[in-house]
Amino acid sequence: MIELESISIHFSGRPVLQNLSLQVPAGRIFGVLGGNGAGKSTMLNIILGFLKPDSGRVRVDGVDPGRNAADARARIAYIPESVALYPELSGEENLAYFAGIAGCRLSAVETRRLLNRVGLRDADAPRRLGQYSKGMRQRVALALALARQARVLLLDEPTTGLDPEAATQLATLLRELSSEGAAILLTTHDLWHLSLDTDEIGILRGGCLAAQFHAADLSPQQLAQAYLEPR
Amino acid sequence: MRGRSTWIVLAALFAAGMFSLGLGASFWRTQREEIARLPAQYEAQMERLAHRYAKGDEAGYWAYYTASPTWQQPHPLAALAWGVRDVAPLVTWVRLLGLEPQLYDAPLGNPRLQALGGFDLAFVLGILAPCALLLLSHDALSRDASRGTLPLLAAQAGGLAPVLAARIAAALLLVLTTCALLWLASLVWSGLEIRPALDSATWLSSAALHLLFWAALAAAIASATRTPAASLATALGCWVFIVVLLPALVNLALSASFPVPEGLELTVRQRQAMHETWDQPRQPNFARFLSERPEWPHAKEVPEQFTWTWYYAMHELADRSVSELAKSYAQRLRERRVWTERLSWLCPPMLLQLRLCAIARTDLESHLIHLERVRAHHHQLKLHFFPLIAADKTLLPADAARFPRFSDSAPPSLPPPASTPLILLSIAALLIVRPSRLLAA
Repeated sequence: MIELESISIHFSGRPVLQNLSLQVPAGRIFGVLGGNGAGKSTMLNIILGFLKPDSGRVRVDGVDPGRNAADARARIAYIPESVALYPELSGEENLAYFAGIAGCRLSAVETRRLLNRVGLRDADAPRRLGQYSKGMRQRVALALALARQARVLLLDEPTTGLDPEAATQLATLLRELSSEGAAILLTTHDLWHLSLDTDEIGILRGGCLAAQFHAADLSPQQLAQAYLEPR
Repeated sequence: MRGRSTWIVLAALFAAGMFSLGLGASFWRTQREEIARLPAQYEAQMERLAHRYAKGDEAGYWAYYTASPTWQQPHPLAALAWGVRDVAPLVTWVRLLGLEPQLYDAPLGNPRLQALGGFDLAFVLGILAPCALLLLSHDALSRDASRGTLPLLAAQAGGLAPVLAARIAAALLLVLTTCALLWLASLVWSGLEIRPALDSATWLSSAALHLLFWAALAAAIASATRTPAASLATALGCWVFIVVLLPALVNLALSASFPVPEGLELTVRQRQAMHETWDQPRQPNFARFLSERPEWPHAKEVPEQFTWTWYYAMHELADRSVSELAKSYAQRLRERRVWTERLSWLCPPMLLQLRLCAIARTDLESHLIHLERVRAHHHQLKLHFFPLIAADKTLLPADAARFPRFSDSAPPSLPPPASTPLILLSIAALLIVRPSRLLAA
């Protein structure tokens, strides 16, 4: 699970996150909604251990990424907003390479199986990444998360640039992963998918968690109203 | 590691290495062959003298026309690190005349070519191999930073340090393998003549240690630059500074601090002293000569007409007149060497060159030791001929067999400069490696 407790961080004296606290238990999907500059990516970078907060406590599956980043990252699968992979390699080569760096040696059969599971066809696997759409690249990153059997999944703006079908398939995959026990934290601008595809929703505003809801309690319209209410 | 460009860089390094081996083998073979011809050349000379003085003649004539060759046999590793061997005279034909001009009497070479230095394997390992390593590894992280794969990479590996270490190690391994192949090729090329296995292994390990420093520097550059263009510019800038500017600055500083009299200056002064002595009263000069020649108690007087005794005394007096300058020449060169070694702590390629040349006995110290041997041989000629000349002896062709001959023993050796600085500099470079800065940025 993911635990953030009173996290604060400043850049050049400007507060980016202030007393941010949230929890994502195993098997749950938590969506963070926030405008540009709200601090969503900074929050993910702190969970990954790329940044150290000025104050507060972070735990990833019980591990403090600030102190033991390698151990924490071993438990995290991270999918950035724009999944950049090596264009000169094929989908399966990229998967094998990144999995290898993470310490997972995949056989050719396993690589294909993982790519199939995230919806990539056998014909797509040997194609170079340069010919992949954003959705296909995201699927490779998801396959990587599956290969690593990560207990925590972080996704930065996962539905940006995806067509509705790809976004729906992504949501289905995330639901599968959460049902297998993964704690999933995603950030997005996409109100529609957020209300449909998550269990908990938090609204990040000015570096603080301004509101938190059960997704089931709100319709997309109510969520939009809550998000856009006068600040 | 990019496929094609990696292999192009390694192939270019290997080709440059093979070319240097070809030149080195030819250089070494030429020197060996020239030295091997010396006994026959000496014998031919003595046959001509025997024919000319078949009935015997004054010892002074024999001494005047007898030139005995002196040389320094090249160590097998000299083919790989020429050092000063390509600029120092290979063979010095020594006569009983004044020694100083003879020491610096060398066949004319093209000074522009000599200024370029030798394209030997030491150059390839010390200058080109680091360049290849930097080309292969400078963008170990910046390539990912510019493509956007850096966060994903860091998230998989538990950080960028292991990725950086693995990539730099891979580049280092490839370059080291290429160097090792070149070294093996050098063994085959020389017909496995590089017997001193310890020297040979030390030679290669020095090059490996040197590359370790460059690998650490590559890691520092890769962790400090965010675009491939910036990392390439930084890497090439560092390379030019370390292999070109820094040694040039050290050389300038040493030349200014330890000015060394030129061999030409010694020659001119010696000749000038010689000619001045012709016109001076003989007896006082001869007395000065005898003051350091107690073995000639019977030759107190010197006649006004030409005598060999007076002639060779004048040569020795001319040598004595520049003896302080000659000592200062060697001393200044040694001081320069010592300071070059000290300053090479800051300049790994210089340190490597010094080590490789010291192991190959082609360094300045080996040359100075060789010059001392030539002086010793010249002294032997004096000890042999002076008593005969002073006694006005007539020598027969059979007496030529007893003339002193130069014998070259094993090339002199000094312990090479320690490689500790290479390790310390590598550690220093590693201390500034901070790949996490790229992520924070």
